[in-house]
Amino acid sequence: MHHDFDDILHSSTHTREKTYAVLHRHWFDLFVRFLPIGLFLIVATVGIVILHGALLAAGQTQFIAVLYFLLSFFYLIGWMAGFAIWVDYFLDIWVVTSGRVINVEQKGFFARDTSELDYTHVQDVTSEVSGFFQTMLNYGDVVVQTAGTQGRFLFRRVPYPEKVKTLVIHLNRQAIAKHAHPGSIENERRNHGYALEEISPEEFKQYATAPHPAENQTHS
Amino acid sequence: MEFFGLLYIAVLLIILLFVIIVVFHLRRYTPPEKKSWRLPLLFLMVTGILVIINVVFFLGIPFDSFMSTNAPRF
Repeated sequence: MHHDFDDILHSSTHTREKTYAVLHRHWFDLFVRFLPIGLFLIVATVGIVILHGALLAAGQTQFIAVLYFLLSFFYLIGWMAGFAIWVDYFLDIWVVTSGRVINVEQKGFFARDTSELDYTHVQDVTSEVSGFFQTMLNYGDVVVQTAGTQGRFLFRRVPYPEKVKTLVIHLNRQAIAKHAHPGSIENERRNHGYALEEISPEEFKQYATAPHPAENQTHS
Repeated sequence: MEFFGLLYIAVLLIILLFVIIVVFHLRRYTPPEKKSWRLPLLFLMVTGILVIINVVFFLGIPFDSFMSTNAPRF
């Protein structure tokens, strides 16, 4: 039995594909979207408690059951809204593999957009970090300009956008080199001292923070 | 009032059924390394508890006292 996520990952002709990153939006984005619900529930709880005291003091005890019914109703609605927000966060996925970038965007409960980007179609990659929280928590957008009909491929509010940009650029260069010169893994190794195809996703984490080997080369 | 009470409980049960369907439907799109039954079952359990609490409080509302007159008796 094929699960739909597996079908997305293995649907193309890419073989021996390595997955370098599976990205979700940063947790702070989820927190910001939960905040209004949390505040509403806190205000509702405090209001109901105050009203409870007021009704007891006034001797109108028949309305107290209504108050607690309303409170439980608010919590139920808040819980359902939180579920919808969390589903949207959890099922929005960007997968960076050695062959392509996959974007799965969940829209509501019953709609989903899935798109793929081959590295040979990448023209330009930009990482955008703006604002106090994005800077402090190191998350932002990565915009991939493509030559295809899609135009732009957007990683929205992902963690470590600079690393993602570096990864996509390097995979793009490698794809172009392979396309133009078969056997260019050897060229890549000769030029840079390594070939990304040979690096495991765990090793990539070290690569992504180290200075690019080409920056240390001197040109005569 | 009984009709509206039963209607409200029926609506809540339909919503709960909808949530169960959605949870099982969306689980298909979870990345395999993150797929487990723990989170969906926890969510369904909490939803069920909230629905039960809501129904209990709804049944505890004294609708009869609202229907009868509130005129003081001497």
